[in-house]
Amino acid sequence: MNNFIEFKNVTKEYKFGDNTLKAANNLNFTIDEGEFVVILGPSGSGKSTLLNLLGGLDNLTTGKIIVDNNEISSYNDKELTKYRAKSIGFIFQFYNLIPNLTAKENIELNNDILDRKVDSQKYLKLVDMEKHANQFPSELSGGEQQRVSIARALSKEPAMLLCDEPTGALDSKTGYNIIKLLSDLSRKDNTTVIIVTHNQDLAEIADKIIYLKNGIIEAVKINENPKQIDQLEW
Amino acid sequence: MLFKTMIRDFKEHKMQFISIFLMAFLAIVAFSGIGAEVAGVSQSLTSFYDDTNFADVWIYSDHLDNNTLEKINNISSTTQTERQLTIPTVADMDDDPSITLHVIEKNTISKYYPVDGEDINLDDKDSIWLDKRFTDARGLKIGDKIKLKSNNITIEKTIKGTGYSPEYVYSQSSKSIVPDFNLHGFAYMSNKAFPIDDVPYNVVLIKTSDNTSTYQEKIDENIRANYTTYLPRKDQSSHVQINSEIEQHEMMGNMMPVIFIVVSLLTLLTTMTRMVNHQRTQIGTLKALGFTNKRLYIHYASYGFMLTTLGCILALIIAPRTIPSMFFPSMSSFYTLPQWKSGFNITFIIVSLLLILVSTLFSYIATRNIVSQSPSSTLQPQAPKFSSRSLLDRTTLFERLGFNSRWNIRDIKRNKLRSLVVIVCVMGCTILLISAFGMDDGMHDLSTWQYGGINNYNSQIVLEENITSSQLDKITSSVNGLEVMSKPIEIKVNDTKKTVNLNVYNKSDYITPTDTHMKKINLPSDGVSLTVKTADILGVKKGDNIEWHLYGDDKWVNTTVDEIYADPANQGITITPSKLEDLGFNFTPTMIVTDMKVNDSYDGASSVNTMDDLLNSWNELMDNAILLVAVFLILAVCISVVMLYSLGILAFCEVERDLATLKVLGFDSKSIRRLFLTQNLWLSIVGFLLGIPLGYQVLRVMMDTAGETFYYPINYSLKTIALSFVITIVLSFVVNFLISRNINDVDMVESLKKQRE
Ligand SMILES: Nc1ncnc2c1ncn2[C@@H]1O[C@H](COP(=O)(O)OP(=O)(O)OP(=O)(O)O)[C@@H](O)[C@H]1O
Ligand SMILES: [Mg+2]
Repeated sequence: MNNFIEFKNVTKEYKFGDNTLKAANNLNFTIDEGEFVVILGPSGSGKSTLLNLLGGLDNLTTGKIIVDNNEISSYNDKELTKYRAKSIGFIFQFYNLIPNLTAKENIELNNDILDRKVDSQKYLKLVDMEKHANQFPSELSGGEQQRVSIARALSKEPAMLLCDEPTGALDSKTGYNIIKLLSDLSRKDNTTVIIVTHNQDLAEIADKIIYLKNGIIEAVKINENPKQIDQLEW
Repeated sequence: MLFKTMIRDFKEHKMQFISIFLMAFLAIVAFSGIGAEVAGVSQSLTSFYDDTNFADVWIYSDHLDNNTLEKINNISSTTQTERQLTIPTVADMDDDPSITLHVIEKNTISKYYPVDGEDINLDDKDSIWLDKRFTDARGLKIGDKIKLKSNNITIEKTIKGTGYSPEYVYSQSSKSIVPDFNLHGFAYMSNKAFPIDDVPYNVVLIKTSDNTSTYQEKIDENIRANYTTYLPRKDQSSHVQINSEIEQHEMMGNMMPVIFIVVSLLTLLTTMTRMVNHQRTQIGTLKALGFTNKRLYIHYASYGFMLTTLGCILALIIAPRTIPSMFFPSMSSFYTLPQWKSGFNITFIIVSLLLILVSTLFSYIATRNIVSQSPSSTLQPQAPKFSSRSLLDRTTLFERLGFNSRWNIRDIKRNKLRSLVVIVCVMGCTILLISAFGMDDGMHDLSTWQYGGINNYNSQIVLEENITSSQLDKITSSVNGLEVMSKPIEIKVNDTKKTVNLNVYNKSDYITPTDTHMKKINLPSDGVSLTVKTADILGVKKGDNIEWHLYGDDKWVNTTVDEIYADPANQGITITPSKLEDLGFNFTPTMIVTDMKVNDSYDGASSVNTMDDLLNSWNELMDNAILLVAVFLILAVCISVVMLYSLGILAFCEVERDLATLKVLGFDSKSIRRLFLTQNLWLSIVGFLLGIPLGYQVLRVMMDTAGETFYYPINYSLKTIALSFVITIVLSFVVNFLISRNINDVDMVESLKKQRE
């Protein structure tokens, strides 16, 4: 589906006394279903802000965000909660697993959100973590935690995966494997994947690259022939 | 600079620090406030006794001739003596108030304490000096006349002055269980004003340099057969009553702060531990910058020090000025002292200093662990808590539990200290609630037990001492009543002596003795029955032997205890008239109880009390107790709200990030709230269940200090438990519900930025 996601004049302001800071300044772009998108930009340029707005974690100041023909920017809290529960899979820099629950239980959390039982074993296998099912987050390495976090996001079978610096806290080898996993998913299951990163190299494998600077979109580049991830020199 | 971080920390942990401060403050308020009252009353009492030269010993005798007095004076340790004639009289007024008349010779021991009008003039033949409490209650004025009647004399005198007497700090008539100054009082009059020249003195007041028991031996040696009762000060009823009251307050003042102190220290420990854990990187940075461990210890220890010092100082300033005066209105409706003032005791300062010291120590202990680590290890984030799957986690039962239960069980396990503090806090609240409601229950039970359970008559006709047997027969038959003899006796077991009541009557429907469960029992008609309270105090059981004698009669008898029964307010022995006569005493009824409403005045009867009178005075006593109940309830509610709130915020902060993650994942606020509330509900229920037995224990201790006259059975009451449960759980729920509202405000974006602390 084309124009699955659409940002129209989206602005997000933070006020400090008399000053206002535009963390997102009149953003306009579209993303198609199944696209693998990379958002690039220096620190403080508004990458996380963009992602959080799209994920329904934050409210915009002006403009419209349309997802799958629904204007999510006009949703109330309840509708946003439902939107996050059904449509979005988040993957964060700090994994954000629930420390009191084992790997398996962190995935089964979704049973309580969705009205169905998720097959935790299947998704653990997908991220190659089935051996660690009964371990607590504190007993896993960072990369392993991130893989559980991905399994948790995938088990929802969301329409899109939003990843904010998913490899930020990982070594390059592990980071590579995670990115590979994400790109495979996008290619195979037609899941829209949006990744925020500092890593310029990822631009080469993306379908679309959004360059941000000071809250403004500098450029949107479309890769007609994205490279395969194993062609990259990591 | 460090000071700045302290101010920020105070701001960030506002609720916790406020509650630490508040608990320390309340502990010292309770301790020094009640302590100031106790010290003040004790000091007033002592100076009252000193001013009036309160007697050490009273010796009662029927034939107190000069010879006997001389023998007493000849004992070397006798420092002062004074004879008096003390007689019970009835004032010629409505409701027949009873006035104890003291006909005095010298006014040197247990002196009359003048307040209004003139002081006693021993040459004045026409005047009388009265109890100010009585004249105030009756609206009598100086210059009024009063007529007093005794067995065979009538006295009418002019009131010259009103005042107090050290022998009547506490006094009470036979008509009511509590002082009713309308119904009783005392009067002083010169021997020259007495109608008979040769005054039949019946008591000697003595000051002695000996202690009272060695003095008694000397008295026994010298005037063995010549006295009926030796009454040392420690057995004088007014003295005993005020002192047991003081003791009771003292205990309350010592017990109450304990709860506050425990709660305060536990909050301090949890808050400091959490805070320091969060600041481990900051501590590492400071150490890397060159701050010494000592500086850091002092810094963190000063948190507890500052808070408790502030609390203690404020409490010490405020409490002694306010708390005592809250007691005085109710105290002065029972007791009579020339002055009600607040006092000081050095223990106020000592306990405050100890509390400050312990708090400082607790802050130090909480920080020691982290501060003592090397700077490089503190600079790294703390190694996550290892929470490997325990045996419990592997059980199939656990596997079946929902996510909510699993999450909460593990969270409790990981935060043992905090969970424990919540439990202790709820326990404290439960203890206070159970004691308050239990006390209230007890009072109501007592009323229905005593009036309706045991005593089923309508009126009580009090007889004159010298009633003739024909007068007696006439009253008994005309009201179809039951003759009852009620006299004080002294019981001796081994070396303990106790003054209790002897009750003599035949089995009837008017007075039906009961057991400890308030069920009617039959007392043996030819045996001696003892109340359970007296039996407990003396340490005797059914079948044991006791020795006793009537006051005013030095003939001792030795009997076995044939039955134990229970009575809420009348402790002692019950026997039948025939058994009394078997033991060699005369049956001389002191009252007649009947079902009829008695209005006539009979010859030989001094007054009539109806059941309504008795119930009224009982209700007055209840009103006082209800005040105490209310204080306990308010305290319980305040402590729990403050504590639960501060602990709830603490718990919330700790899981805030996880709650935010759940929110991000799409959990709705309702289920996240439920998650948070479940844990508190569990902990509250555990705390409540543990609090019940402790609450009853505390209740028992409180009831036991109520004195030797009252017997309170403590029964587990469903109503008490249910009410306490509802209050505790509702409080805990409401407080945490309010906290859980913060979930709506959790900033998902904000909490995702942070690395786990
Ligand atoms: N809660 C907030 N209050 C005020 N300003 C904020 C807030 N969150 C973000 N900002 C500002 O908005 C701008 C964009 O922040 P954002 O987190 O989107 O940057 P980013 O591109 O993700 O940076 P990085 O690569 O460092 O993560 C920054 O200048 C930041 O200071
Ligand atoms: Mg960012």
